Amino acid sequence: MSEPTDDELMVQVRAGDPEPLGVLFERYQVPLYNFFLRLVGDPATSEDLVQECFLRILKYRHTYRGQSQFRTWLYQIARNARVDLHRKRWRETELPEAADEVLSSHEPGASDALEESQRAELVRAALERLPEDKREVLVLSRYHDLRYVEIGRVLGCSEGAVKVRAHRAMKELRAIVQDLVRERVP
Amino acid sequence: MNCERAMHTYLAGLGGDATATADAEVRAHLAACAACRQESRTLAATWDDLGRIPMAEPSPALGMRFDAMLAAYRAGARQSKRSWEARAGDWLALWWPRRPAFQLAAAAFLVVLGFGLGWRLDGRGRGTEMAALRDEVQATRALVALSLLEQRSPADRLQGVEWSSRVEHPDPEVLAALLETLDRDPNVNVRLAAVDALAHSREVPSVRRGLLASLRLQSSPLVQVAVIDALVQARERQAVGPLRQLSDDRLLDPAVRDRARWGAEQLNF
Repeated sequence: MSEPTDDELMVQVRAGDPEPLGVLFERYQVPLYNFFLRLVGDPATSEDLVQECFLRILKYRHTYRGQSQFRTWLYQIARNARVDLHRKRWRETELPEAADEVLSSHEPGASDALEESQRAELVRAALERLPEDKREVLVLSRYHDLRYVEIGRVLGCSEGAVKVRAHRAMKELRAIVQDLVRERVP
Repeated sequence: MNCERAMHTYLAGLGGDATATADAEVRAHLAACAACRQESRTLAATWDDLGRIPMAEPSPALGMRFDAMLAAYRAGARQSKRSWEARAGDWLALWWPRRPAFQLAAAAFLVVLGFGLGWRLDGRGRGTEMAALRDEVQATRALVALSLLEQRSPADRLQGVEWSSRVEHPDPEVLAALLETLDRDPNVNVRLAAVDALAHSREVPSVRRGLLASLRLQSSPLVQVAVIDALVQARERQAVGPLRQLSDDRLLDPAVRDRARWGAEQLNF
């Protein structure tokens, strides 16, 4: 017997049965945690946001329209939760110190000679320096397998606008990576 | 296909979001355009770089918090199914607190009050029934405590700590939530209240370990002193070494160092 889809589970939650939410939590706690972690850079805040997300799913379950759009709906909720929290409490976390820490801890050397883990840290630091609107697009498309049309629904813009933003984000990210490497190698 | 559109489509294709037709058009464009070939290599390298960032795992506490949230929701849902409430709902809504945390607290208070009145009026409480009722009351208190500890407002979280003190034998979930509050709550008053609440369960080994581990995490001298006192109360001999280290740490507040020295002496006595 195949496992119920996200949509089937959410329809049950919408009908007043909270139990399937546990299955959805198991499926999405890690992706959501990473979504938030890549946007805010703080593990504790990211966990708070995952919890907030599932609270909102219960609170706003009646707004779920079905049609196999659970993931899009979920990331809309996630995005709103992050924006609300950002407004209220965590303005300072938008500029994490991690980027500078990474740079200062690197040994001199060419960018292609970096160890895999250092390279990952470098990219993570660059991602954190990227403006928020561009970071969102990259995180959703690279790590959460959302198609551009779905990202457009999450962000409230057209598929074409997502394409443009994604392309600009990639170019800017590459430039930031190069800047970070140059800062490391005087 | 122009260069800009080709690169947009190429990037979409890296994420598996381009049709076969579009993909063929991009390939044809790349074959004829050296600049786009160069940019496509850069885009692909950046895309690969992004894939180097590993997926992180949330802490186990997240699952526990979710379970507590779901349990609180179930409890709320059960209470809302009372038949008379549908008729009296509008009237009650005028009196019912609007914030979920206070709703839960009020609901739990009414349950406890109901049990207490019933027992007094009835006067025939048999042992097993009363034990079951007591367990239910304790479970309700724990539920309210966990729910309140999740709230945004420090006042709500303080209430959560206070409710946890009403649980006669807090279960591991409540104790874990209190320890997490002690380690992570941004409000000093809430952390201080959490130390006091945890001190009631000082016979539990995980609480003593948690208090000891928390000592180094605390930045507030008030909380540091409170944790030292709790460890001394608990006669936690494992704390002697860490307390001596604290007493030698010149970066610490002098009052904390003095208290740490005193604590080490007490535990060594």
